[in-house]
Amino acid sequence: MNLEVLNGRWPFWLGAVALAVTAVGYAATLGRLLGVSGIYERLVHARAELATEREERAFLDRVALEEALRRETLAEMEKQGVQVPPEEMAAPVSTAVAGPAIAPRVPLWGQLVFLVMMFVGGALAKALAGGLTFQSQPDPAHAHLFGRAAPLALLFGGVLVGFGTRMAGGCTSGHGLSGCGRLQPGSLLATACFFGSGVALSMVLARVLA
Amino acid sequence: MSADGPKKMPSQPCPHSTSCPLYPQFTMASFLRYWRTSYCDADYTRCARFRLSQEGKPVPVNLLPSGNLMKLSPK
Repeated sequence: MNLEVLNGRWPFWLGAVALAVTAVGYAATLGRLLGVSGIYERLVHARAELATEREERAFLDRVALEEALRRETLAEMEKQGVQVPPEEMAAPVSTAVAGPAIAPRVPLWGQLVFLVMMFVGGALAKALAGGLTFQSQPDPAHAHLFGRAAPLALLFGGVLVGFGTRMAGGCTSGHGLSGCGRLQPGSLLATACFFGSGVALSMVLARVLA
Repeated sequence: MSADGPKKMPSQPCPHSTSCPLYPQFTMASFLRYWRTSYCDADYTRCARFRLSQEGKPVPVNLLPSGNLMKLSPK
């Protein structure tokens, strides 16, 4: 295959297959939908996420669950001014009931590996196409638009993307792959919005740069 | 009663009662039924777990209907 014709990029259909395999494989093996901005959010809140993981493990400890439920319930009833008959408080708590299984949670370290491998995979693909280079300077077109403020513009753009994806509840992977694949109306609308605005902005920039 | 008149209560139990891991635990002792009579089987729209799931957010397993987080793991 002549990658020069494709400007050093892999054919689009191969990218589509890779994305489909990744999204379906992720959901099939982990029982969760793929969403990269959601993974970033979990990593940003790593401390709270690790605490949640600990609590989920502890939830399976029947004794700990019984004790915690008794303590929290009595505190809540006292707060609400609800009287508990003494005989009820003295009565032994029966064995915890086996409830529905807790939805599996992807371990945080696994999601960190996923993010790292995204960069490794991208670099590997580019290296195989023979065009892997590292550059510390902004792209010429980018520098033309923003001048010396180009790095700041990149940073600001990244912040806007992060803000937008969290406000929309997903990004190109969460809405575009997982949501559109399931024909979720919100995801179809979100994907149409961010791809539509991307195309429109590209057309404007092409005119400006020309 | 609010200024808008009596609040309409849902007549059905919480639609998430079959998938909620806490709901079955509220039968372990009679006083634990407080949660069901106050939230699950009464006004489940007040339940913090229900509200969070309606927002499409993950619901912590230790989140009580009141919004408090149960401390399960040892310190």
